[in-house]
Amino acid sequence: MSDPLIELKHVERVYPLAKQQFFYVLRDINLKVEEGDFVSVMGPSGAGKSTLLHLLGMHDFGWTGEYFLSDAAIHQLKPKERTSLRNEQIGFVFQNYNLLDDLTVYENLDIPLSYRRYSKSERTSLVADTLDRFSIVGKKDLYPRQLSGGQQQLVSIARAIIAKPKLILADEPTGNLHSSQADDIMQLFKKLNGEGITIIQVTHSEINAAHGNRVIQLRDGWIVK
Amino acid sequence: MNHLRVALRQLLKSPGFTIVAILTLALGIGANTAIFSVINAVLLRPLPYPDPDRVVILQESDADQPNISVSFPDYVDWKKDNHVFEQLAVARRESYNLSGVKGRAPEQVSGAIVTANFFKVVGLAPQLGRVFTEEEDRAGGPALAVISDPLWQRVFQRDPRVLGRAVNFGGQFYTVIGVMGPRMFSPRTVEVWFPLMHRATGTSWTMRDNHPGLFGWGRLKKGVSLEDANAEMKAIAARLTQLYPESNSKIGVNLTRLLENQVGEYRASLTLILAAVAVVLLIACANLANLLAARGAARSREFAIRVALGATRWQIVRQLLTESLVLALLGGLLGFAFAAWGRDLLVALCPPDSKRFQETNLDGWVMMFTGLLAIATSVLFGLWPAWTASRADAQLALKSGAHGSSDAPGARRSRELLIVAEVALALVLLSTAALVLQSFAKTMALSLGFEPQQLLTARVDLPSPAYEDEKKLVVFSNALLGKLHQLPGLEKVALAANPPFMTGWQDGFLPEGAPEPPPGRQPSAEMAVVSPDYFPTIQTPLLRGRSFQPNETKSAPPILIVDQLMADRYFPGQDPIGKRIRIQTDDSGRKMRTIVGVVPHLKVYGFDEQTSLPQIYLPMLQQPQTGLVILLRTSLPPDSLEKSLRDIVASLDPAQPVFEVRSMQSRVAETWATPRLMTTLLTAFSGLALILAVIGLYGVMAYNGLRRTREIGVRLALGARRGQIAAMMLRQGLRLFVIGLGIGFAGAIVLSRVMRSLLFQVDVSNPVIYLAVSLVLAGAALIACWIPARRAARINPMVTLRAE
Repeated sequence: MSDPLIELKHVERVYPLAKQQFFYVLRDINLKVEEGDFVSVMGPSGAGKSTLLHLLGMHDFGWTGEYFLSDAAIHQLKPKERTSLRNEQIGFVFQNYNLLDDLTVYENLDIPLSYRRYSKSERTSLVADTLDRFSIVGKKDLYPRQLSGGQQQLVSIARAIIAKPKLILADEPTGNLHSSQADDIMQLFKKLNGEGITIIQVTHSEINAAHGNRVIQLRDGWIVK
Repeated sequence: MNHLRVALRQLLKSPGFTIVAILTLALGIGANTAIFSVINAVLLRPLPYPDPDRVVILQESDADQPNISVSFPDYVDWKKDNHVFEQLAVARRESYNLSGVKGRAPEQVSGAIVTANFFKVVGLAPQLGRVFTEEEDRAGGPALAVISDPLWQRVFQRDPRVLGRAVNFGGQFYTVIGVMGPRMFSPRTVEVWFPLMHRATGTSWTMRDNHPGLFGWGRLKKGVSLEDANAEMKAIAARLTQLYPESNSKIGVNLTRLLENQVGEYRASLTLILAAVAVVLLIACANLANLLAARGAARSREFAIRVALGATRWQIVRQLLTESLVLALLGGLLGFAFAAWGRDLLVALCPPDSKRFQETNLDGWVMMFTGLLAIATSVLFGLWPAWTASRADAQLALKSGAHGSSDAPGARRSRELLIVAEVALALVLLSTAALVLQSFAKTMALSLGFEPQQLLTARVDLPSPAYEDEKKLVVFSNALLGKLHQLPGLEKVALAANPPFMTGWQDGFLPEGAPEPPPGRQPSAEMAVVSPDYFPTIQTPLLRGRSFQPNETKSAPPILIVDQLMADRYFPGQDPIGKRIRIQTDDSGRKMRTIVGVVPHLKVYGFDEQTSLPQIYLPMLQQPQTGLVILLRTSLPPDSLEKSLRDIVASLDPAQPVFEVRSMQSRVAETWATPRLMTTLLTAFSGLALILAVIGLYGVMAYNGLRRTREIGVRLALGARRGQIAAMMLRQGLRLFVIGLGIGFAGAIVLSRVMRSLLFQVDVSNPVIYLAVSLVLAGAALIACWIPARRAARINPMVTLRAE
């Protein structure tokens, strides 16, 4: 059996409180995610779901334990190396889309590529392909405010995969969408997962979680299932 | 992503911010550009001669004065003994009546007598004809003249046939042999050059203790530094002191580069103005940095998303710096336009007697300065906000529903530091301006000893061959005074040689019975020769004795009038009336003159005259002069008499030009030009600094109020009174102000010590000045803090908390 894409060993995230007291957000997390998994992280508010996602996305460095991603020991990497690895392997999808308001759809898709080592012609070609693949060519010159919520999330997912990540981290990707739009997005995730992209999503929805092949339940910072 | 396109889009999205930022920068960069254009024209632009740094001016010094003109025998020895100069020349400025040119009225032109190698020192060849040779430059040599380009243009309409033409300068015909090019303007404003050695055999020139207005002009050999040349010339001067102790016991030599000689006096003032305008730009940058930081905080979500999408810190900084650069370049462009529009106004404020000030323009160097300044400015005001914004927290973007602004850690502290710096800089600048303003006010309020208002002055130089006979001079003077008395509106009229602000003649003297001074140590006095009505005309009271009488001619006993300084210094505790004085050049120092009156000491060179010589007045009827100044006191506007004055002189002698017709007030004002320039600009810049600092303080307070809206809402909901909220906000602003004030005080006191030499009769440690400036600043700061504090206190807690 091959090595997992992600492996967490005894990971903890603790916030110090006053007078030698501590608040544990994540406690002794041990987790393996295989390449091609579609994992849903669930749990009540304050369970540590978003913190786990930040930790996996290498936005948070204040944790302890061991974190391996594609054989790289993240806990041993310098911040610059972590950023470089994140840019290579991870794409993000947010609940509120987080498209840049002042950029067109085309420019929003181009942004992740501009932050990586792609040539101008490669970028043009990749953006054109992605627009085509997501059927949003006709909207390439529109600004986010001119799109519906579903369309914005579609662009957001297109932006997440444009740099060809191995892993997509999605935080409540359908939280602001109505049910039919949410279903479209989940179908799209499933399709991307079918193409080999590993997906980890945080969700409150059992229906959305059902699209994945595995569910992790968090409660008070512990993995309970 | 094209950073430039995004930057332009961002700026267009917030036109209010963009306009304010560009205008702020335009004012700051424009002011710097304007001042740099003056500094470039006056101090930096090289003189238009080959290797201009090798051209130096040589002057001598004695025990009393650091700079006096050069003795001709000393020059001959310098030329013979030195090894540092390729060429060493001497020149003397003179003025001549140019007459006899068909179709032109006689006019006064500025000329110079120069040794033949003078042109080699300057390094320019004539554009037409030739200059005189060493063989021609000798006693008894041909009367030759080389004219300037402006004179060729003005008088001869660029006619090449001017070469070989005999032209009447000062009553003598000179053959024009060359025309210099337009670049030649040395010595200042000279329009015609004559051979000097014609005069070198005169007895007075051969006396080593005579310093007849000559200036040395040297071209250093290649590779010889000014320091080397100074050292060798000082060694030669020391040798001459040993050889000729009677005349050279205290004589030294000074070398200055030509450019420094011409403009060195302006260096300190211009540097101070440049420093002041740089402070204004710094304050503008601090304001913009705060504005951009607030904008960056408002855009924190955008930067967090960019980080989440893979942007490195540098990529975000680069994007923001591009926006700053676009702002700065647009500000620079507008600032350049402001500077171009303000150029004429600025030049009008500059000293009118220096050609280089008048040559101020916005050339390639100034453009380059503006461009570089804009780039430097963009980094100065853009880097800190960009760096702060680039520390965006990506978690913020990942959090559901995260919107709005955030303050990066330390950002508030940095913002406050900038405000403290702004207040401190504004205080330093305001204090400096207040000191200079006080200095200028003291200068203006100072009594000159005479009344320059309503006094018209004009020069008439009677040419020596026609008026060689003193009787002719007396006849002309009397006839002139008689006719001038008939002018309408005339209150008094007088003639004088060397009246105040038109003087420059010093002579040695010795009171009767005083011990003979050692060689070269004879006391000197400012000399003037005046007609009987001189003192009533310039409205100087007679303190003791009497004035000159119309019947005191050459046949009467020789008399003079002295000033109070002479009376105090040489006749302390005695009545000077009836005492006798010997003047060095008066009948070769044999004649004794009796003091008949005492008048106050006059300021004859300018208000800020620090050390001055005593003054002696001789009666014109006993000492007739060819160089006359007409002084008319009138009840009409002085300039309105110019035409009548010219007509009267022409009616007496049609070949006689009248020149330099100007009110005495304008001559006095000319001596204020540099302090007036400094005062006007420093006042304007400190006003600008005050406005910018107050806007900055207001901006930060308003931003803090906005940021703390929710907190204030909660406080109000919990029972805080509105007065308490206002006081809380006010305290925050005033705390910054007080810290800035403290630092500014320290800076102002240090600076005032440095600029002491630029001030006139100002006590830089007088606390009243600093207190007054602090009160002005405090008043403005109170308003700047009060408005946002009051707004914060009026927040409706219900609306605020619901919105949250």
